Formats: sequence, C-alpha cells, structure tokens
Amino acid sequence: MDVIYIIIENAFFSIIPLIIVAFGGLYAERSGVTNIALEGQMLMGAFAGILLVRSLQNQTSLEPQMIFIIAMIVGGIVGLIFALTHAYSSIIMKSDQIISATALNLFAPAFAIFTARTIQTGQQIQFTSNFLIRKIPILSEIPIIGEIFFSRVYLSLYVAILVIFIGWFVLMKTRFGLRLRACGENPHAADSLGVNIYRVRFIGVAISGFLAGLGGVAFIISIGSEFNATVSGFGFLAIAVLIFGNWNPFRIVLAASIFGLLRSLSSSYYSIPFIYNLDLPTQIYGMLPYIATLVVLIFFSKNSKAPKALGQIYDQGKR
Amino acid sequence: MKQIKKWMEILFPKIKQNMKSSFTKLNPILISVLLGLLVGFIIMFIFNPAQSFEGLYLLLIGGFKDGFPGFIIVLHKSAPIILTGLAVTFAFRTGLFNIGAAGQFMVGALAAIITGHAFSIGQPFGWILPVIVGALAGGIWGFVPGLLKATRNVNEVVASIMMNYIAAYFVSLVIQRTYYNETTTSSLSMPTGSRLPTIFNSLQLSSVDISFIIAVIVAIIAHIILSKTVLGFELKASGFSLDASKYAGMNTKRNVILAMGISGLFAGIGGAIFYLTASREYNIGIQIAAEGFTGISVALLGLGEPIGVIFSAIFLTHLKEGGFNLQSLVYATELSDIINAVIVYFVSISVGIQLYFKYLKKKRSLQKELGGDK
Repeated sequence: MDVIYIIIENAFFSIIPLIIVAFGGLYAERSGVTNIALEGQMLMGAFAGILLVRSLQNQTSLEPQMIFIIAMIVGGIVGLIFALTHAYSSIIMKSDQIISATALNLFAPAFAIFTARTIQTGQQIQFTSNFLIRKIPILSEIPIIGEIFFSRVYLSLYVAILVIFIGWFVLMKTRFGLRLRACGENPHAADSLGVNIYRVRFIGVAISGFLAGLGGVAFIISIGSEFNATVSGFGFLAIAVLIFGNWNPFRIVLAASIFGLLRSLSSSYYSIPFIYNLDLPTQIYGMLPYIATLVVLIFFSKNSKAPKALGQIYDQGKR
Repeated sequence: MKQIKKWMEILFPKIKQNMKSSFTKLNPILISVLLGLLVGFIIMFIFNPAQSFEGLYLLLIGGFKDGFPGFIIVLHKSAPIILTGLAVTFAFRTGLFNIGAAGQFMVGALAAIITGHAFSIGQPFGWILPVIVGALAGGIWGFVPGLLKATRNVNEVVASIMMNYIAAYFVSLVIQRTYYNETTTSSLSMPTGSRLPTIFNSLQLSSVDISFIIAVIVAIIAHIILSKTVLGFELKASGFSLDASKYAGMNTKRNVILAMGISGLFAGIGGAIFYLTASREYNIGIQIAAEGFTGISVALLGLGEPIGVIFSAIFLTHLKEGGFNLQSLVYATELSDIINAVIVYFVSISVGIQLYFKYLKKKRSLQKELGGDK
C-alpha cells in the first residue's frame, strides 16, 4: 500500500504542473492560437517567481505558504506579460505562430541565464524548500483520500484542482467561453455575429501565459531547491498532454494523470520490488512515459478534434 | 559603359530581377538583425553602461577577434547547425514543423560513434561509413513521426518531441553499454581512423576538419532536390496546400513521410560530423541536443532556402562567438542567445510590417486614383 502512495505522491510532481500548463494551452488553442511557447512562458514565470521566493525568504519572515502563493501569482503575471508578445505578433502582426513562439522559447532560457549570471555569480537560483504540507488536520484522517490528497502535499495541488474546475466552467459554461471556442472553430462566423476576434484571442493567449507562468513556479517549487534556467521540457509535454487530451478539459486531466503516473513509475521503480527485480537499465524506465504517450497518440489521433481554425491567421478581409 | 550594361541585360535578363527580389526578401532579415543588435546593446547598457560600447564591439567582431583564422573556426563550428537548419528547412517547405531535429541529431551521433569505433577503416576515407550510417539513423528517427503523421494523423510536433526524449535515453543507454568511458561518463574518444580529415597543419586550426565542406555540399544537394526535381516540386506543393496537391494527384502521404525522412537524414549527418572528431565525446547525461533547436532559428533566418541556411548558420555562429568574447567584460555569454531570439521574433513580425506597408501603398494609390477622378 505504501508503495502506491509513494508513486502517487511522486506522480503529483508531474501531474500538477502538466494540468495547470495544459489548461493554459487549452485556452490559447481553443481560441485559435497555437502556443508552442508554453515552455518559454513557464520558464519566465518560474524565473520571476523563484527570484521572488529567494528574496522573500531572505528578507522577510512570511509564512512559506504565503510566499508560495505570492510567487505563483507573480510568476503568472510575468508569464502573462511575456505571452502578450506572442499574442501581439500572432494576432495583430499576423506572423507565423510557430515562428513567434519559437522566438519566445529561445528568449526565455537565454534571458534567465543572462540575468541570473549578471546579478549574481552562477546561473542557479537557490531557495529553501519548506513548502511541503505534512498533514492537514482532520481531513488527513480520512482513509485513502486523506493519505493521497491531504498529507505530504504541496499547495499547488489545490491550485490545480481549482484550475480544473474554474477552467472547465469558464470554457464550457459561460458566454465568454462559448465565444472563445467560436473563435477557434469559425472566426469568420463569430465575427459576423459581433464577437471581437482579436480581443478574445488576446485574452485567450493572456490566460494561457498566466497559467503557464503559474505552473512553472509550481513545478520548480515541488521538485527541488534550485532553479537552473530550465523547466525540463514540461511546456512541450503540456502541449502533448493537450493534444492527447483532445482539447477537452477532463480528458486533459486524464491524459496528464496517465503520463504523470507513468513518469512516477519510471522514476521510483526501485521501490516496487517486482519491477526492480527485472533489472532493466534505468534509461528504459526513463523513456517509458514518452514511448507510452507516443503509442497512445497513435491510437487516439485518428479522430482528433483540434479546433478548426487552429494556427490560422485571422484576416477580416478574407470573409 | 552603357553598351556593356545593355548587353548584360540581354545576356542575363534574370539576374537583375533575381537580385532585386532576393534583396526585398532579405530586407526584413537585415532590419531584424539590426533591431536585435540594438536590443542587445540596450540590455548591456541597462546592466552596465560603462562597458556597453566595448561590449557591442566585441559582439560584432565575433569570430574575427582572432583574425582570419578565427573566421575559419566560425565556419567550422557552423557546420552542425547548417545541417540541423537544413533539416528544419526541408520540413518547413513541406508544411511540417520538425522540432525533432535534436533527436535525429543525437541518434545520428550515436550511429556514427558506434560505427566509427566498430569499423575504423583508417584515414582518409574512414569517416564515410559512419557519416552514412549516422544519416540513415537520423533518417529513421525522422521517418517515424512522418509515418505516424501520414498514416495515423499524429501531430508531428508532439511525436517529434517524444522522439527527442526517447532518443536522449536511448543514446545514453547504448553508449553506456558499448564504447563507454566511466571516468568521464562519456563515449570513448573517436579512433583516428574514423575521424574526419583535418585541413590545416597549424596548431591554431588543428581542430578544423572537412565538416563545413560536407555541410555545404549537403546544402547544395538540398537546394537541387527542392528546386530542380519533381520530388521537390511535390514537396513544396504539399507545403502550399495539402488539399490542392492531393487533388492534383500527388501522393501526399508519401510526400510527408519522405520529407520527414530526408529531414532526419540531414540532422543525422549533423550529429555524425559533430562527433567524428578528436575533441568531442558524447556525455550520457539526459540532455536534448541544443543544435536541434538552434536549427530552427537557422532555418527561419535562412528564409527557407538551403543556400540561405549556410549564411544564417555562419551569422549565428559568429554572433555566438561574439557572445563568448563578452566573457572578458561583466556580461554573460547568453546575450548572443537573447539577440538571436529577438531577431527571430522581429523576423516573424516583419511579415505583418510588410503587409502594413503594402496596405499603405495600396491606400495611397487608391487615393490618387480617386483624386484623379475628381
């Protein structure tokens, strides 16, 4: 039983940021803008957030959880501002969305390393890792659920749950969500009904940048005690989760969970006796989640429901 | 003088036209480069105004800091990213985004390392077999996402990203079990018989081998395939409109697979030549080769033309060397990567800027017409 808890606890390290960032991707892509720059936005958010965490830890005596919340919000805002450059180029300047996103992805690590190395000695930013919530009183007493969701968790778990429900509700149940989806499916029709395509897409990309930045902070906080100008390709993985989840909120959660569990299995295989006894090289476990994702994509891509106008430049004159 | 000009125009009617069109195509790139350097200068100025001018000078002089030999080294270092740039370009022209050049580069490196150790034929032709095997390995790695895209509609971007990670683990695994040096956690150094032949005798240029020449030859081959063959025409047609080319009777599925496969071949050669040298060993740490991602910006600045890729790769390497020069000042070398990113960003929005100028021109001429009517 304990082994299962360990695996789930480890899986949350991947599942939480993947869900948050993939929901960000969802908002951009359902509005019709591809956002391959999730990686860059995550990194910028994480960079700003972790810098803030370090200085707050050094200079104030705030509660760790308070610092975490502030860092996530600031990371989100920085991600948002950074994403606006992508929105500007791909919506207003009608540039190729992949090219502009690539520029963002190139910029973020370079900027993080350059700034870190210029303002301090090395490129790593250290912080004290004291954000783990050991036990939540009362709730952690509930059998099974208490063990999984209320003990030895990070605050970001609840943020992710919040993101799932708010994200689903806004996208699927509100007028704004309907308009956003219309922009991704048939912008010309939406425009003819008075929806401001440019504005809706801008908001879509902005939300996506906010969630990516927030997810970046959540990711770095939960995996260690330093930031080394990388988010380990999680932005790209979030895009994979988004596509694997067929641009549908709850299937994204499912996709992220499957991927996260596989990743956790592969990193904690040594604590599972029967897998450990197979005596396979570590790299095999390492590549397993990626192979599994590829295989799943092979089976589920045939009936993929990508937004119809995804990646297309909207030009009013073309109507 | 006038006579000569007239004759020239009769003899080579297309040259002037070509020059003009390639200049208008190049214009946004040049402007973006200037803007990128400006942003770099501003960043230097913000962090430390006193050294910013010297910084700009060191950045611009790049590889030329060591004179002409320095430039030879820039050419040499540009070879791998010419090849990954070609890989990305080739897929781009077919309407595919090959973000997997990194993975193809890595398996190309692996195949070349294994072959180079197993069959060390000896100078000067020992390198040929490893390069060919490396190319094939890269080709297979590109072929898989192409096949999945064509037959199962799997998004090539996601499939390529997965292939990148699989490649990182796979290469690490195989190297660790074959030609592995435990103390350096890297592959064993390449036997002399399989290295690329070096060109110069002087100590300063001892690392320079024929990799740049190979890269240029591959670029020319890519140019010929794209602009002179039926296959190239079909690939470009698929890139313009998949539906139209399907309607015209082309086998678009085959074209997608071929484009990704050939793209992988190029990246695989890049990986092979990168490691067929005395000075480099493959470290088994799990890392995605940066050359694959640099290839994307090389391809973008190369305007989707194989020949353009050569120049953009040289330029970016020059810039990178400029970044290294900055180490003597207070700035970090990554400034060159920031400038690179800014240039790519401006190139991407230059399309919009051009459209705006066109629109202004149209508006003005329309106004003129209307005014004339009055």
